[in-house]
Order: sequence, then C-alpha cells, then structure tokens
Amino acid sequence: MQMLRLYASNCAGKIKAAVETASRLQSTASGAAGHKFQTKEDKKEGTTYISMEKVTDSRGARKDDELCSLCTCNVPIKLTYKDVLILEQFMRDDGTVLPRQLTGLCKKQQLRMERCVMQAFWSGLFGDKYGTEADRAGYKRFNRYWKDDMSMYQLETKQRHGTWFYIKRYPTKNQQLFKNPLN
Amino acid sequence: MSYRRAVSRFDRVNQWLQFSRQWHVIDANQQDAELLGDKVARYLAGKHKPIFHPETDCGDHVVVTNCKDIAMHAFDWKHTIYKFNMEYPKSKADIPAWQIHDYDQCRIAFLSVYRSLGNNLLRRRHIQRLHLFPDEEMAEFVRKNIGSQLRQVQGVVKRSDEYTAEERANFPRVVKFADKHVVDWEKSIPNPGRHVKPVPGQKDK
Repeated sequence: MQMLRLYASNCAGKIKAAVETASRLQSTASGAAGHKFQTKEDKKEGTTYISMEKVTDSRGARKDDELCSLCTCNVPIKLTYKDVLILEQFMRDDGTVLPRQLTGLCKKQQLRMERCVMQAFWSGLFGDKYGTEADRAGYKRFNRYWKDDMSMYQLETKQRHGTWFYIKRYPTKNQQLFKNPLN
Repeated sequence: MSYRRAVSRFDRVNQWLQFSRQWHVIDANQQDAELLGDKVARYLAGKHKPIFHPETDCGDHVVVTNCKDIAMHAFDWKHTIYKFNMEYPKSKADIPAWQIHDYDQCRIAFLSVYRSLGNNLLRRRHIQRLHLFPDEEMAEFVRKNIGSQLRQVQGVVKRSDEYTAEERANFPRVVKFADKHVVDWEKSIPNPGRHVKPVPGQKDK
C-alpha cells in the first residue's frame, strides 16, 4: 500500500497521473500475471488521500485453450471495415488497438481486426472521433472502399485511356490543366 | 367489354415507356467508378430494353448526382493512370485519377461511363444523354424530366459518428471483461512532452 497525502487539489490530477504511470510501468516490468493497481481517493476535511490498491484481475495472459470472441459461433464471422461498432470495442480512446491479452482474440482474428481498423481509418469511417490529425492529403481525402481485409497488399497499376471529348465538350479555358494548355 | 381489351392499361403505359426516352437518376455517393460506369452505360445504350439492337438508338437519359463523392477501390485513386495522347508534340500526359478528381469533380464519372460504352460509332451519341452534377443541385428542367431512380451498385457505408447513442447502447458486446476488470488500464498514457535540456548554469529552467 502506498499512501500519499495532498493538501491542495490543484496538483492532485498531475500527481495522480504520475502515480498511475509509475504503477503501470512497475507492474509491466515485474512481469506479474495480471496484477494491476487501482486508484482510490478519499477526501477528509479538505485533504485528499490517494492510495493505490492492488487489484488481482482474473484475466491474465490468454490461454491457448480459450476461445476467442469472434470464433465462438458456428457460423464463420468475417470482420469487415464497415463494422465500426465492433471495431470500436477493440480500441482505446485515442484510436489505438488493444493488445491480444485484453481482447482475448486468437492471432488470426487479431491481425484481421487490426487490418480492418486501418482500413476504416483510411476510409474515414471514424470521422473526427479520434482526432483530426489523420493524414488526409492528396488522394486520401476521396472516398475509398475495400473488398476484403487483404486488399491493402494487392497493389496493381491500371492504365486507362483518357479522352479529349470531355475537354472539348465542356471547355475549361479559364483553368490551367497542363503547363502548355492546348484547349 | 373486358374480353375485347387485349392489353391492360398498365401494360399499355409500360409499352409507351419502352419506346420513349426516360430520365433516370442515380446517386454516386460511395459508388465504385467502374461499376457505376457499367450500369449507367447500359441505360444510355438502351441495353436494358427488350427492343435493343446495336443499330437501334433507344437509350435513356441518366442523371448522376453527387459525383464528387464517387469512390474507388483501395489505392486506385493513385494507381489508376489516365493516358492522354493525341500524337502531337507536348500532348502526352499520364495523370492519376485523384488529380483529375481534384481538378474537376465530374470528369472521373464521365471517363468511366465513356469507357464502359465501348468503342463504337454510337458512343458519342449515347454520351450526350449523360448529365453529371457534383452534388444534389441540378437544373430545374432536369429535375422535372426525371421519372425513375436507379438502384445503387453498392451499399453506402455508415460512419461511426452517424450512429445514435441508443443504437450504440443496444449493440451487443463482443469483448467481455472480468468482474474485477480495471478500465483505467486501457487508457492512454498522456504525452509527457519532449525533454528540454536545461541551459548550462541554470538548473531548474
């Protein structure tokens, strides 16, 4: 048990965050199976007491005989990038994906879920929920879709014949398309 | 008198619509460019009619709205190269699709339909009946002529912020944690910021 006493509530948030970070690093470094710390606050007569209580989480590392959430059905579930309500259950509040120890998925489903989250981000399906720092420059701001979760690795260049009929029919003389405009 | 009527009134109207030029409207929001072009080209050429013949020009008009929201698969926006070549000096240009879409929001839809119509003599005549609009605003005479709506070629994906709180709460949980699960553990560590080395001589600044 670690007991800290604070007299002012201004710096309580900062010290609380620092203590949480330190306890998380400690529990990660010690390699304990599922030992975590939970913050507890008590306020008595203007004094805030913050203590870290050890919590034994029943879910430790994932066992091999444990069924994953997406393989329990007899009907095979194929996760796609459109299932944003399912994908958000595997994500943190800043848009990153939870590890396998917490999600309980098998390795195949975990990798597929991570690919679907990437595709949903690229398609802009999360909007501004996880911040506006996503790269939307160039071609990335136009609408995109994905046939399956392995589409991001199947790359090919398509050659299309460009026609001048549109340019002749809808003249765009006021706008420069090429360096030496012919229309 | 019913035994004398060979064709009912409904069939008669359908027969009139068969031989006249209808105006269809289709929404291009999140529709694949090539699949949309194939469908629109069928209606422009009149291949959906039983009276179709290659020399019979029985195509309908098609109005495509929301052309700026057209979609492409995966990385096709930068991997689809449109080759312009008139065999004159300085007329060759290989432009990726996203640059064309950046410049003109209706041209990608036009190029897809033009490609799907095939290389034949009637292509220029068929493409005259294509009406493209970047969003849902259109000319009034076009709106008055529209009499039919085409089904979209693929579904429109719903975004995450378009779900209401009730739909989100009613959705079943896939991940189930233990009873003593600590939710704070999944929260992100706040960024402590970059370390700034203190100036020599001044320790705490």
